[in-house]
Amino acid sequence: MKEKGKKTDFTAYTVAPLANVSLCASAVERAMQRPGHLPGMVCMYGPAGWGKSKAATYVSLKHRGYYIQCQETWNGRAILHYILQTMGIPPKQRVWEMAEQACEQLAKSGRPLIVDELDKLVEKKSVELIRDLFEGSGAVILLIGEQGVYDKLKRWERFHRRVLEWVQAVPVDIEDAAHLRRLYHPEVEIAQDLLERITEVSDGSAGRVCLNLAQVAGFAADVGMESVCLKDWGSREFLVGGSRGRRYGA
Amino acid sequence: MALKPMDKRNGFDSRQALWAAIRRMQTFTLRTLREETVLRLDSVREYVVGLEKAGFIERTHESKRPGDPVVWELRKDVGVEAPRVRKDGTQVTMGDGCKNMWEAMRILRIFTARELAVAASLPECLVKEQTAIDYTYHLCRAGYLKKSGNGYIFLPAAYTGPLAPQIQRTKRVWDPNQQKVRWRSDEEAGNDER
Repeated sequence: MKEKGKKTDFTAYTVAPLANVSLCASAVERAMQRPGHLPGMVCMYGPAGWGKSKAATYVSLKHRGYYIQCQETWNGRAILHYILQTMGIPPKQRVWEMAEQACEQLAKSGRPLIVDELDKLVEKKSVELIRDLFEGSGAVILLIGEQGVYDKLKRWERFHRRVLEWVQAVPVDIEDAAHLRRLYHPEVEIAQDLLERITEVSDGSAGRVCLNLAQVAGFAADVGMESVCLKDWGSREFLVGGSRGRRYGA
Repeated sequence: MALKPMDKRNGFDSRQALWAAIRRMQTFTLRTLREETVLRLDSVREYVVGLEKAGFIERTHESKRPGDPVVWELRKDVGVEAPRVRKDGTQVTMGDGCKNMWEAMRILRIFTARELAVAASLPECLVKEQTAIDYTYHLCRAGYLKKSGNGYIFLPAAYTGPLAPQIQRTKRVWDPNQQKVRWRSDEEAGNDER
């Protein structure tokens, strides 16, 4: 099958074609190639379950980023501690020394910093620390937050102004749903009409599409079908909103 | 460079040690680098040649007669992590799959092997589901992951650092961050003289 000298493109086997992943990845790439006088922070925001963290994972692996997921309890020291941990650098004692260590590594490596669940910092002064890290390193910083983060950040005007691009996450569409099916349930065909229905009931959430796809795939396995359409599915129920709890297996 | 399993190398990553020494010294010769790291000359030379080909270091003085050593200088300092280059200057790709899985599981936190394989796959480095099954199986044995239904949970406290734990051919789990063996298979543990 393999042609000689021609590299096969394996993008189809990754999350890269998903709308939110490609939006986020291209914004980060633009920031990495920006002219020197422009700020280098990119902020992606949108409702929970829309695939923001998937996008962050992809960007992090693709550009060997330093990824941290903020916690409610974190202060400035904690943020720096975790950043240095992901860098593999033993933290020095004082906070300013730790900030210097992190800035040096960011600047030299040219790798992006990815701050997920930014909401948890947004009420605190520690958001200013993220800005300091940017100013001290010039590194690209990808911020990920919930829907309201755009407005909440307005309070920190200097921070707000350093954001090169605001990326609003988009709701899941039928193409995303078809791609998610290929990625997670390659063993079962799902007809276009059923995919459309799943996209519709999932209310924009890629996470919910995945759960519904899993239900359909489970059903197909139970009755021994290799391909399912809306008629086969009949009036069985879908998962629509409410609890986003995750379940594994039956 | 030596292909001994990591835990037989006295907990010593020669590439990392050389890179750290180069960053400290800035200008060096093979000899001063070797004195600094106490490594074998051929492993020092191999890495230096690779770094030069990849453009991380540059010659500032050519050898004019025997005994007059070549002097190199660090040109592209990319931070603490040693560039993974082969002798010909190309990137080492071995272990990329595990590296990506290790990073992805920290972000996903709750996942099945298939979800991990998908998340860890890049167009230039696909991770097969079976690879993810093997890796998670071993990391679970070694205490990094907790089983939950047919998936796993990665506890934030289990994160030991940026370097991915390795499953060695001897079926041990080696953590390069902590420099220790985290798990070994039962048969092997039984054979240990105590």
